Amino acid sequence: MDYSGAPIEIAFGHSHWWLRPLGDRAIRIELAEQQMSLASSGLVHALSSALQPLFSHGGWALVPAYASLTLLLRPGADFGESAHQIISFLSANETPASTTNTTNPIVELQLLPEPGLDAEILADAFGLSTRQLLQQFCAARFQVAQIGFRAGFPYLLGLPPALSFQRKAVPRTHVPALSVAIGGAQAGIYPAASPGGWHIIGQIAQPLFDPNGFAERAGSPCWLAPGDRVQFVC
Amino acid sequence: MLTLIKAGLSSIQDAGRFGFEALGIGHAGFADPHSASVANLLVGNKPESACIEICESHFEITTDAPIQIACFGAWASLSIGSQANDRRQFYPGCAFWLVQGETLRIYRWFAGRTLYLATASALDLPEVMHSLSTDAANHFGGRAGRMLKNSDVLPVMAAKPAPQRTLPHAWPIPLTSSAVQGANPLRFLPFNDALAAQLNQRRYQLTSQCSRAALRLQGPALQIEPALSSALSAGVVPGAIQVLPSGEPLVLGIDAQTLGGYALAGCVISADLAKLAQVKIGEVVQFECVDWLQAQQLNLARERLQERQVLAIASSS
Repeated sequence: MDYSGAPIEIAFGHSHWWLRPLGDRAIRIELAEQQMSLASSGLVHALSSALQPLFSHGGWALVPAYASLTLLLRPGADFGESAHQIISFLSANETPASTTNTTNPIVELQLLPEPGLDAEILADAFGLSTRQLLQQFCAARFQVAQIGFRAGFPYLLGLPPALSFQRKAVPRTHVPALSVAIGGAQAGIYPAASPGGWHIIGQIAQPLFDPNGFAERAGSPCWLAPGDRVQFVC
Repeated sequence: MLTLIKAGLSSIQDAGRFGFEALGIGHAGFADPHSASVANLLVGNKPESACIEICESHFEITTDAPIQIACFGAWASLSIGSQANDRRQFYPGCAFWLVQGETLRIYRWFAGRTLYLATASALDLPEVMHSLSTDAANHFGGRAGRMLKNSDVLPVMAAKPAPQRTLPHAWPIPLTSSAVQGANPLRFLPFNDALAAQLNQRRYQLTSQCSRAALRLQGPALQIEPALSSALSAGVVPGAIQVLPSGEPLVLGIDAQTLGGYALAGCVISADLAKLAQVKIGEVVQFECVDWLQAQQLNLARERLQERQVLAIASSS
């Protein structure tokens, strides 16, 4: 059976999703309710895990994001056939409605102060000392919702609402490598020096991206992966 | 080894990477894979072997040992020789020898924007994540993880015997089509119906801010609801047509980031993706919204043409 390319509504447990093609080489599966939250992110990772067995042959790459999962078709693979396989699988399977990923190990990252950047600005805005700011940041439990912008850049959910802070009006042209930053309700870590508009509160020593692969991460080029839980230590 | 005298806008590319997108690592690789395949086949390589991808610019290269070369893609003149008064002219579509002391100069570009230079002696560079492709944003792959620079040296492996092949007919596949007077049709599948309807039949000019990562276009701004501009970032692909909050459309290229937060009007169909690398700066594209069935038919027709061209090369030696 061929896939007609029309959007399809899918229900899993209590969550509703829309599946529709993104061009002729990708499918976007989006939560009907678009929210930046640990609950949405957890649903995306549950869907991603449920679909994984279908792709043991490597026909698709899965790109989890805050409230969507994008499936990319391998060059040469047939879209219609693969799409039909995914749709049949999703309609036949009861996907676990687990919301938070509590099975992944916690990755600890030592947070070092980085004087002269933005920690003082944020601490002043929140009426805290920089030490209190870092302590509150380290008390939070983060989860990697998505990786993008640059190779290995983790978008972290779990920032306490009290530490949320708008982006800079004018981005910095040079953010040092391994800077830990707050951008709105998210936190992130710049793997390499790059431009960036988030406020920098500290730094880690652990490299996040090595194109030749980290032996400690089974050869993966990234230290963190979507779904990982992260704890900063200071 | 090869030495770049003028690197222009060039980089090492092959078929690119697949399967690392969840880690923020995009596809990279050939922006016009069929043209790269033809260049490779002309010197007896596998179609996906690593090549030098050259974007319209002044390019010049030399060698310290005889090497067989073929170029394909954009239509440009290839000037070969050791002295100003003793140069031979070649055109893309045939294999030729470059010997020590000679230079190959490419500076007159007639049609198309991207040309592939394949060598029968394979480029001797390390694979990173199963590919030699340059990932310039993340600083790895290719030569030192960046675009090529003047004086860069490219080691090559020992020469293998290669058939001397030539395309029997000069140009079986037009680079860009003039079906619409003066504009190149860019067929796309809709993603957001309201934005796609606005984009349909509109014409845009390629600005000088076009790269392997994205094409910035000049033309009519689209009306975009503020809610669409504050969408959560999600997976994107080469060919995705983003609409900036200003209403300006921006088409992602083969070096696209893996996640994007801008609204999406649609996505260019596979058959037209190479045009993103071949339409020249200053030329005009016309967006044409197609349905799923039309896209399948156009893609199939394009594949058939490409297969015929590959067969023509195989039967030419």
